Amino acid sequence: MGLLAKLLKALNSDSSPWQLAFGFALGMIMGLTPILGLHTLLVAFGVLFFRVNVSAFLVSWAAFSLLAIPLSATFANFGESLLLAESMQGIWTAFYSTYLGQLTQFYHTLTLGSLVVSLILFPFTLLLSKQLVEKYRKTFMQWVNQLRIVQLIKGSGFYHLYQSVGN
Amino acid sequence: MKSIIRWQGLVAFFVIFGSLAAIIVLFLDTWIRLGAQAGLGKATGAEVNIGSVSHTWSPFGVTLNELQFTDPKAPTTNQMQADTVSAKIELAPLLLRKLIISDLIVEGTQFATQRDSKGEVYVDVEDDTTDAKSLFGDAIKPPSVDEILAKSPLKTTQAVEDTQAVIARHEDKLKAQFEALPSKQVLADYQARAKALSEVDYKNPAALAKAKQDFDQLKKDVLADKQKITDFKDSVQQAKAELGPQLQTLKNAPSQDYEQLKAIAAGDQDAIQDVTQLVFGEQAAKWSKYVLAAFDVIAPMLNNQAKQTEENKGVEGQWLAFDDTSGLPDLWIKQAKISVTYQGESVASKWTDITHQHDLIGKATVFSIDSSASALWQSLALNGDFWLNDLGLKAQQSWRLAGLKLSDMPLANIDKLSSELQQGLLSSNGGLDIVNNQLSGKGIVDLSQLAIQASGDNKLTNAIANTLNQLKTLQLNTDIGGTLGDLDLNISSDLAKQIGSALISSVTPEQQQKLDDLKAKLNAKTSGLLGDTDGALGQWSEWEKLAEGDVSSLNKVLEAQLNNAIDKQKNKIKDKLFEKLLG
Repeated sequence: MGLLAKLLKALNSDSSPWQLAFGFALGMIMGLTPILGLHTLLVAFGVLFFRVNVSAFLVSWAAFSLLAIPLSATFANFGESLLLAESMQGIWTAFYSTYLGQLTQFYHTLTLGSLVVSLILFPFTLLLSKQLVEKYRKTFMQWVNQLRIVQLIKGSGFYHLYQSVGN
Repeated sequence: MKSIIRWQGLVAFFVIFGSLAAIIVLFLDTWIRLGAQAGLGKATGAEVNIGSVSHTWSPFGVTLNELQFTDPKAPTTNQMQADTVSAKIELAPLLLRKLIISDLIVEGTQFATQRDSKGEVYVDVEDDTTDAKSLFGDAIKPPSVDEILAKSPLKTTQAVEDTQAVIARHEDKLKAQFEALPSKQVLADYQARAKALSEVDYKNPAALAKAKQDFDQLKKDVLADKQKITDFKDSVQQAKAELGPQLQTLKNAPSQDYEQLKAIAAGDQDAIQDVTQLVFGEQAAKWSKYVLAAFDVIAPMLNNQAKQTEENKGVEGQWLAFDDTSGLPDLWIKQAKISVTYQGESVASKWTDITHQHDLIGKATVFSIDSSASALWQSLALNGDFWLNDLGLKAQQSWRLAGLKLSDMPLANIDKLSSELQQGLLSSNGGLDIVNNQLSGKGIVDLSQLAIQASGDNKLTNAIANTLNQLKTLQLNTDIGGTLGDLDLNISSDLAKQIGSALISSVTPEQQQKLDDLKAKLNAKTSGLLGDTDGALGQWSEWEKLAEGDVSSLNKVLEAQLNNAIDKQKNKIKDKLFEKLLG
């Protein structure tokens, strides 16, 4: 609940749309890929070291983790086809013999498949998220705030929580 | 405008991941314990407990203490337990998710021990416990004599069929051959022709030549008929040689069947046929756990590991290997020393190349035990190897155990019968082969110097108890079958026969009436055929005798007449020669 309140606050605040968009896109990578791997460390470093919106990242991570459950088998099959591709054998073999290659765990079908898919989706998610944040702020924020249901929420405990977080 | 760098974030990153690393290292023993319990539990299909874990960094090694593997088929017992398991692990292959153990030492291994509490079972297993309670009850309804005769594979029935087949096979042939023999008239004709030839006085060479021709024809006819008689005699001999032993079998069959079926007729056979399994089965299963541990515990564990890797491909992904390191299996224990404890005595086994991917290393897992005399046994030798691949397990094992001392060992403690082996000596040898997970083997367990204390509650269990109490030696024959992880031991001995004889010696008048009825019905099955067979044999002998007479008659006539004729001619030629010489 607190996390959602923070996200709403960020959407309604003057946080840069890029900060929020990177949060959503990096959260997508984190959610779609297995948590144990070098990529997790890199994504976490990116989120914390650069001014990425952490609330957007956490919400996106949770949402894409749920989405990843039914897609796991597809990712694994895609990863397997990449790893077994005849033309790629030289690259994989060379990478496999390095410590960096072993740390990335690229030779795990699910890790490679989900990571490649999420990296392909990354720029699209980034741009789409930015546009949606901007659209929300321009078109919907005013309208949403005037909705009867939002008025009701504003009178609820959740809104008070949201306010306290904002303070 | 704010900087895109968040320095506090960098601090947070190191604090978060530093803390995570610290927690992992600080509680490494706990993670290893939980991981090993979960992994081994998955491999065995039942709860695995580890008392405590310790580790060393250089060389990297892990020691697990007080391991217990729940038996999925009997969750209140441990399939195996060990005091300590120490492993030296190669670190670099761990990055490739390959567990390579250079040295493994397992101490204090025991099988089939009681658990403190029932273990959890993760797989469906068939309950193979035998409900022995009802077997020794008082109200067992014995089958009727007709039911016994209908259900039992009788030697008598078989002997009757075999005898009828022998008679049918020979009778027509002999009859046809006998009918084709020369008649009395033909024989008389031969005699007349021979006599006529011998009595003729040959005046000239032409007459002599004609006589010679007639003689040759006669000889030819006689020899042809003589051959028929000889062939017939051979056939009779052959038929008699076949029917003689068959007749003996037929005569003995009813009494043999009676011996076999009398315990059933008395109503006890159903109850005592599995008595060896009931009395010695539990202990034999325990002994087999030790002798067949490689195939009852370790190989199934490795096989399950291979299966799980295959099953998890889809959802959890698959770990592929590339280039030179592809030769490494997922699990490889290069050398292991496993010490097994039996009644306080320890016996060490040596193992090499334990894995579930033998095709990758190109070597089989080899294990051996060679133990000289100890306080408990005189000698123990066990050798075996196994190879696991996609087709299943291929393995072989042989063992030889001499003079294992047994004492105070509970045997059957079931409804109406309790027994305990107070002392004895056990020797065993045998062999086992496994092809594509199918086991087949035989073992002999010789029990000697036995002292068993048993007591029963009714007539049947009293007879069993008395037999057990008098038992000094017993040979158990063990057939090993089943599939990997589902070992099937079938134990047999002549114990049921001994108990059956004891029961027969004290039958009731009603049971005696039934036994007499059984004997009469068995004898009735053969009586008619015995008469027919005797008749056939008598007939064949009579024919043979007649043929014998014909042959001797032919021989005598032929030789005598021929010699006379030749002698006469010789004498005439001699006379003529003397006349000419002497002038």
